[in-house]
Amino acid sequence: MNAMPVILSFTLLFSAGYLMASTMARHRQQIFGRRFALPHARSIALRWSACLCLFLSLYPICSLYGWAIGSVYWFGLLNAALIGAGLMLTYSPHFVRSMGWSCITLSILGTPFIL
Amino acid sequence: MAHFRKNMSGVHTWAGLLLGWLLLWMFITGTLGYFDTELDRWMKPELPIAPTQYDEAHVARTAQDYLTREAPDASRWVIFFPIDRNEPYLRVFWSGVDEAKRYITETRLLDLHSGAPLEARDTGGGQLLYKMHWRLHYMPRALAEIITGSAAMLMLLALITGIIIHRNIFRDIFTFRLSKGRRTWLDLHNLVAVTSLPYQLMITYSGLIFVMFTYMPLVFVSFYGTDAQGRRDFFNAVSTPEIAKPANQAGVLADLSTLVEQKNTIWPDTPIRNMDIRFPGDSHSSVILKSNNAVSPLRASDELVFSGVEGKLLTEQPANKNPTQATHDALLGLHEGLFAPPVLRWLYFFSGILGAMMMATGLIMWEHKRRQQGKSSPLGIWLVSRLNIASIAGMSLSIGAYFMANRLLPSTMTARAEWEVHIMFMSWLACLLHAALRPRYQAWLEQLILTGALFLCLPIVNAITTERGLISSMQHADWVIAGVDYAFLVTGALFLIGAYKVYERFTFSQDTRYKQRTANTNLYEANG
Repeated sequence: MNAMPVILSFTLLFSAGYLMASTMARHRQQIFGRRFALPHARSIALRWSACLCLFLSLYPICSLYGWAIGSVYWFGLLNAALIGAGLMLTYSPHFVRSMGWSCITLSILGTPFIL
Repeated sequence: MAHFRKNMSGVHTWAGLLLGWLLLWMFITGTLGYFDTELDRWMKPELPIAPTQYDEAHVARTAQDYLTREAPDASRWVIFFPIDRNEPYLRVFWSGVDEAKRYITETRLLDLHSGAPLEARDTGGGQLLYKMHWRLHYMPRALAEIITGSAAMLMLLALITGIIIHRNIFRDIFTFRLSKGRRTWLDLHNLVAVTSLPYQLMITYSGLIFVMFTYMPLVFVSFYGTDAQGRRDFFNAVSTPEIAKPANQAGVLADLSTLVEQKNTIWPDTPIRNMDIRFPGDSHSSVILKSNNAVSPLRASDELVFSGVEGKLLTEQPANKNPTQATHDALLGLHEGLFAPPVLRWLYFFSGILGAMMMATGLIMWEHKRRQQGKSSPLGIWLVSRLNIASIAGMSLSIGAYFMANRLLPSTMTARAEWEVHIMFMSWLACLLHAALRPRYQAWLEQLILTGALFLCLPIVNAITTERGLISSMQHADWVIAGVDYAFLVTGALFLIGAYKVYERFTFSQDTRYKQRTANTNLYEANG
């Protein structure tokens, strides 16, 4: 169905935002409610996963609409995902963790739909 | 580096401030332009629900019958098929020269079943509102082009300097700290600007490409010279080759539905966007069939050229653009977003609103910072603060007034379309005067409340004055008009929430115990 690649791209982008935010001290405190340091290796791994999600999210949307319209769409979804993550971190930070993990799970579960 | 950043900060501030209010206007009307045909339909409630399915041959026959009756002497007919949301109804256009040798054009919407023209109230619609995005109003188009082009150039400058001065553009991407006065405004400015940055850069640059020949004419001149032959050469290079000249002998146009059948054998799955008939009453008439050009930003369409009298296929022109033309058209296509499917269109709209928020927060920050620092002239701060109120709250109110005037002005009024626009600008002027005369906090609160109330009343007035109220639209599954009504409700609610936040902030800052505690800090400035 048409909506699945769009949703999948969005969840991958939100996951990228969530993973990136958890590498930053200020947002880690917002998400997890306490200050703690991250081991260097873990921080690098999270950053690479975030970048991976970012680039993987191009595939579902471009497979549906072609790379021309797909890339424009991707920028739009990136905008929506980042604003969503930013506002959620400010207004309902306790919710970000579950939202982030739901997006990661949905992205993994949704992979068969676009392959 | 710090010195460079400081200078860029100055450029950013002044490039943003000088034409920031005009840019807000351009952004709001341009963003509404992504839904121009939907707003058109809301503003013409007499029009029926747009057809979703149609038979192309039937459409061609209906249009041909009407045009043969009404415009037999025209030199050009164009039939626009109701192919998508950009062209929801069957539209016919004709042009010609009348007895006084003046070039005239006419356009009509036709009903698919009866072939009769669809009548609606005289209004500029969403199209006029959107066109004011670059044409402004009450001024010659050349002047408007110069002004809006300059504004776009300053905005591009402001965007690039903004990127330069933003120190931790990736690290601070999600930072949005509440209740910290100026910091909060800066965080919001950064959040909306950085997340929508690709869109802002694209829209500004492509907007400048629209006026590139005005601003860089010498590039054209260096290739084509300044004479008329040079202009002809350029036109031939970028448009379809010449079609047959008129023979000035009478001829009968073939049945256009036969051309549709021929098209179906050549292009099995491609709908027709329009049929362009040149010199319809002539023996050398031609018909150009264009395929759908809104499937990609390139706006390219394949063409089939037929001879008009015999109905025979002459040539097939695949969409071919040389790389330069393709780059140009792709940029313009990205700006207009006509190719966008529904969700992407909403994302375009959302990004446009974020752009307007970026500019509004920037203007508000200028005012707050200068007031706290106390170094700028009081007149300058007063001017900026009043213009802020009038262009953020007042402009939104004036656009609401435009829609309200569409519903309330009598349909038999002369110059009705112009008066809708006059009412819009008159209410904006009233907002400016109100902002100048009232104390700052009261001005903000009253204008925000009025705007919210006006937008919330729009669906109510719609339901009272027309048969296309929200309940009726939903019953008939007319999601266009229902959607616009919902959008008005949401807009009204957002403005009332904004008014409440202004009220909350002011009453909090007026709390005497808080004032005593924070007497030495400048987090909240006094009203005035």
